[in-house]
Amino acid sequence: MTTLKIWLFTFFLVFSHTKILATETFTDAEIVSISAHGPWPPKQTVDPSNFLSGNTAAIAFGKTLFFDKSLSGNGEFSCASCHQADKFFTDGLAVSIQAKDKKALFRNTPSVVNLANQRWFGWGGESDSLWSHAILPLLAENEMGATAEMIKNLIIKNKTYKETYQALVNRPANKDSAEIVLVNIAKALAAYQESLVTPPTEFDKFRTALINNDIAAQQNYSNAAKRGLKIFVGEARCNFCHFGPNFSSGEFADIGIPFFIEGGVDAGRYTGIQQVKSNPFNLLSEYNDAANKNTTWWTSQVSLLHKNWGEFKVPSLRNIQNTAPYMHNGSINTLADVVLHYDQINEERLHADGERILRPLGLSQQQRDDLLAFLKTL
Amino acid sequence: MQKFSLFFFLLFYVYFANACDYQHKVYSKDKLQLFVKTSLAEVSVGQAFNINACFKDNANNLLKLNAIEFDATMPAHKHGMNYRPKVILESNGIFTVENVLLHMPGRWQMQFEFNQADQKQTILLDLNL
Repeated sequence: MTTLKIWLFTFFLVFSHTKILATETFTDAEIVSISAHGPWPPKQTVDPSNFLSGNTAAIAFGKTLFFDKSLSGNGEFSCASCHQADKFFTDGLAVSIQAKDKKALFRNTPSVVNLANQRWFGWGGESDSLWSHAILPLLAENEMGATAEMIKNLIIKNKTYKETYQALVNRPANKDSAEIVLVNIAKALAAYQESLVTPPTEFDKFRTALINNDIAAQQNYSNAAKRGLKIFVGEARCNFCHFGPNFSSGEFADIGIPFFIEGGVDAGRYTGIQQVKSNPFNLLSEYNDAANKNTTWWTSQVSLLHKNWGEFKVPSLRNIQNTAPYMHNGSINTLADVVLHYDQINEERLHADGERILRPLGLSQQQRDDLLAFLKTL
Repeated sequence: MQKFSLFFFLLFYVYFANACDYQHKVYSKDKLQLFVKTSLAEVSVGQAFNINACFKDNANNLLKLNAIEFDATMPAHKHGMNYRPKVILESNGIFTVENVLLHMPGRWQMQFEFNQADQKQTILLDLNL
């Protein structure tokens, strides 16, 4: 009897160990879904609305400006004050801090990597180009608090900036209006930010191995991450919104995060559309450099819908483990809590006429851990 | 001179007579046929594309419509597009639906609506992304 027990125990041990080691496999449909999340990095294209996009000298100029505190009204803040390079160009805080009085604002500082080829910028999509989005914090009194005149003077008085501006624009800064100088500086900042592209990740290597049917290379990806990936493109339907190579559709969604702020509400996409349509620097303005305006059509054709109220931009999930805290208001501290939020989502917090995509998932702890393991490979 | 005139007449005739025929027939029911061609060889999620659409009766005559309306929804999710495509009537009777953007994977239902002989006609087409 003791021998039988030993055999049974050994058999159980071997069987369970074998199951853990067994490789996860993917259906054809799953492979199609997974392959849509690449290739990475994407083919580099220039922004037709920005004549400085892709220009090496403009990228270098933009980088210098990004880290220059004299671009702010009080000389104490640069773009890099919130978009800190060692924090994946975020600040690690729940919400941004005002330049003037150090009070908290109401939105989380998003990263500025992997921004090329997008249509909308900002949690509410307040801007329709990266360069026009760079203007917003420059001029916002509660952010960098600069003025167009101040920026023009800075460019004219700084010998290096003056010469660089003239070389890029083929015109001295003092011949341009303050507004035009501001736009050109924003375009240089955008050129730099577009150049911030993250390298391929563990997931990308696995995706390549899966598409090429390279079984050996697929073994380098953990089984936990594979199980998590199956959940991501399967029952959790994360890829409905976190779609494509950048793991974001670039559009907006309501995921049941409260939008109340001190003194009111943050209506997100709803006011974002209103703001972008009235922005004097939008793609419908004279500052759009595109020869064919149809290549920058989205502002004229975006719909303002009731459902946009309380929607916020679907963020990219690339490098997500490096950009805590999460959500438009930084209200979720850890990635594990993000998974829990979706797993236990309160449907009553979602719009009545909203998308019926989100529902409680009822994942086990193991499944939540697997999903987390996958997210950490992005 | 006569040969040139004949040439241009034939070119004109071919262009206007067969413009609809160079597109794919995607719907044929009752007395209606719908022919479409997309600007992308393969429609994909998040990429804007144009649709050229023309309509014929069951005798293969091009319907001369003044206007059509186009929309697309995801019936399972109860939502539509985030953008309002432009519908343009071209000189050859074909409609161009500009900048259709389907922002999510899954089943989309495209809807073409128009008035024909004072009757509202609706054509629904499914597209799985």
